[in-house]
Amino acid sequence: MRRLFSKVFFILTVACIWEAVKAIGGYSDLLLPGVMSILRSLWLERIQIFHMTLFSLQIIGIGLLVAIVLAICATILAFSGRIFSEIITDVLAILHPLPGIAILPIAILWFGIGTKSILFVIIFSAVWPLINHFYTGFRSIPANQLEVGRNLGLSGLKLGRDIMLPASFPHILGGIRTGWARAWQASVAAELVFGAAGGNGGLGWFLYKKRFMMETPGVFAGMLVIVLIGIAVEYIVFTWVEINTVRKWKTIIN
Amino acid sequence: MYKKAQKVVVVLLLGLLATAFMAGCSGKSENSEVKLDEGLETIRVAKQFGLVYAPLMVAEKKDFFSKYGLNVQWKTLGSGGAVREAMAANELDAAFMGIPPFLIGCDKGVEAKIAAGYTVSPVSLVTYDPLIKSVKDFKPEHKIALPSPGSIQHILLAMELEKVMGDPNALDDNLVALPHPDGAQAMLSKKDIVAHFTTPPYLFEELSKPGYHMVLDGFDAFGGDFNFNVALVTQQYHDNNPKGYAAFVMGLNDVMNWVNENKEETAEILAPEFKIEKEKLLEYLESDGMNYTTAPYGIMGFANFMKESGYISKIPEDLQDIAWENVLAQIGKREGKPSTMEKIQWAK
Amino acid sequence: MGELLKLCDVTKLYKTSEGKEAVGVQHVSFTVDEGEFISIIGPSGCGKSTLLRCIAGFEKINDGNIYLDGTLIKKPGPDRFMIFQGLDQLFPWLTLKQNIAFAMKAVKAVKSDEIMQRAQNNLELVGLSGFGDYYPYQLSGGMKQRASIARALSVGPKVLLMDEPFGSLDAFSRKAMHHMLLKVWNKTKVTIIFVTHDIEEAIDLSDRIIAFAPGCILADIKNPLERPRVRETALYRNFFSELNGIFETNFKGIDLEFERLSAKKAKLISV
Repeated sequence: MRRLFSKVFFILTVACIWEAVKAIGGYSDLLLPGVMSILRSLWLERIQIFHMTLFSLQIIGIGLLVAIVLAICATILAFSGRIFSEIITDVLAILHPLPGIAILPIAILWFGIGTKSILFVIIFSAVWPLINHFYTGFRSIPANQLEVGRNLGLSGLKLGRDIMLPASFPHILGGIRTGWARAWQASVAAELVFGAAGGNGGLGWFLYKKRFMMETPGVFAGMLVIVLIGIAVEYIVFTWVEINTVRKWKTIIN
Repeated sequence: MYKKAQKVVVVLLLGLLATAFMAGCSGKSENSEVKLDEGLETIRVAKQFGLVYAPLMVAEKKDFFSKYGLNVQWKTLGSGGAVREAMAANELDAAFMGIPPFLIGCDKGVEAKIAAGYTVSPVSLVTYDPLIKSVKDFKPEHKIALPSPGSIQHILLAMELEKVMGDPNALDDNLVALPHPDGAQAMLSKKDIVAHFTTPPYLFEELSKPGYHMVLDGFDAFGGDFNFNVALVTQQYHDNNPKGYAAFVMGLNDVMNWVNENKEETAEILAPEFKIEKEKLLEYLESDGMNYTTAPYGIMGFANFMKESGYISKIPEDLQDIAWENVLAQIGKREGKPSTMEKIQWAK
Repeated sequence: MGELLKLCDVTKLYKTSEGKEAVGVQHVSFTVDEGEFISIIGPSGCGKSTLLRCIAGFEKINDGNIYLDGTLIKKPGPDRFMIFQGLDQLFPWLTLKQNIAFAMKAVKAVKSDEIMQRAQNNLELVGLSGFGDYYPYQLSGGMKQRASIARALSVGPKVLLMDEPFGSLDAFSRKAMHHMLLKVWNKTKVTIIFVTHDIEEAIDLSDRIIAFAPGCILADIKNPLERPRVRETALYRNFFSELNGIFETNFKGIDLEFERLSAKKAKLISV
């Protein structure tokens, strides 16, 4: 109850300061829309925002899934030979720091201007941190636990599923968390830069359209939704998974 | 942890508050600085890249404004959206844009009006699909490229759709926002898009290829001529710098006339800028339908439609709301029945 | 009591990272009877752990054969269960009971409706009856090792292979662990091969002691002392001196070689 009160108080404080900034600076709704006009825009556009959010989540979900599969393949490859692990480490060192959005021009050349390009950017953004975390995770599995597994006659898929997966789960979770954040950023950024395609657009495309219609309250409403979804996924989905796994097992990593 | 984050946010917002306060105080002093500039007026003008900006490029190259006592600070911006935002943020005094984006800006509180018409140019929807003869023939999978939502091309397409299909948004899900060069490239490689709503030189280039044909002529959709761009000057600049404003309008008239009289020399000056051959550029400059003029054409014609389709919240009550006095004087106000000049400001 | 485990001429070679061959275990032969408690002692890096890992099937041997109950050993199996020195051998994502149940399910040795009861019984055996629902992080080092033993016993191994299992514990808990292990051994009659570098630990626990030097057996001695062993007796001191003497005479010259090997142990590659 007290925490709820403190949060409500915090939000009200932010809203008041926001309005004060607007009043003192004498900004119009075009430059700094008021809290109420942002909320009104959010309400008026709720159906469109809902569909676009769904689209964004769907494309990010697909992208993240593909990236996870690719990362698993790359990690298995990295463990199947010294040469592969060296190659993958080098490729990782080169491509990990490259922001996904930087490859958008190439993506458009290869995959055209449709959803495929955005998907490619999302996969590219997410796959490197995933590989990085998966690889570290698998390497940090205690040898003893693996040998207990082998001692019990487990091998191959069973060893992977029953022991390697839960043993490296803290890193896997960390990887998916980073991957999600980067995929989310990439999807919004990609749509903002090149505007996506009409009916098939996510929240980035929403921002783009609102910008070109000079509906600043709509732009803020879109940003609010992006922030809220980010918070929701971080504090509801990931925290829930964390509480039920690594925090329960005390195998959490920082 | 959470408490700490709360405090940080509040401190940041308070900082913003202080900045806003200072910005509010210093806003006016900035303008007086401009005036102090030894009698020479200064104006900050945005230009973009494209054939339609040819007269402006000539003006910059041949320094057309200084003889009127005006010092122009040219700023190059990437997109129409950025130009409008820069105007709203008082980073620009004058800019050029299509009438629909200007009307959207007006509606949202950008304080600027039309100081001059700026060219009349063909703008058309082109396709390479032989089955598409009218806007009715587009299927859901057919993507149509145009520069951005709310652009003149977007509104022209919506106007036609309203007329033909009764729904201005019928093809909204088919639209792809692409800058002209990217759209032209996608069209010529027949990749991703089947149609492109564009302007010269891309328009001529696409139409010159076999199998590419026009689906919709912008003039037909509109029902008459209209300025492809209009020159805008902000309220603040217009009110505080009457001399600068007058010089800007004079310079524009001067260079526009010069280009009409000297197309060959214009091509010579600008060929290196556009990185194409002089002959090719001359061909473009002289292509059918291009009209280098500062006269206002169809400046009110988009407003009704845009209000009805929800792009703007209110129609400007009077020409005075969107144009400065020199434009109003050009149009005039005939007693009794409106004059031809008055009539052409409205779409049929 | 019949012969359970038989090692014939077992050789395990390693390569150093420079490619030179290093000996892990060389031509080792001995037998272990059913129910016997035997210790393998020697300084660290002498190959005693390697030998244990060969028996467990974790290492492919280069030469010789290992038989369990007359069957040739080729790969790891639950009939020879290993207890490691490290305190991280329990699965941290499972409670103690779940750890034990997981092992029983993996080897399919127990009917599923009996699993939880068996797990509880095994926890009682090692003195952890109230801790079945605890996660490993909630336990002390000694409790973790007890739980590991309970888990190992649950799959019904013929041999328990213990690789310095109490090496990470302090002296007090080690004493308690010895007590517990002997109790478990008495009750289950499981055969135990116990690797340690602590001579007293070996004397306290085992029936028979194999003294191991780099790669080979120095001595294979029956423990002459009565159980329970009492450290203060002259007999105990004499036996200790005898064992100690074996290492002192044999290790003067090879001490240095030994350290070199141990230092490089991490870099050794199995051949």
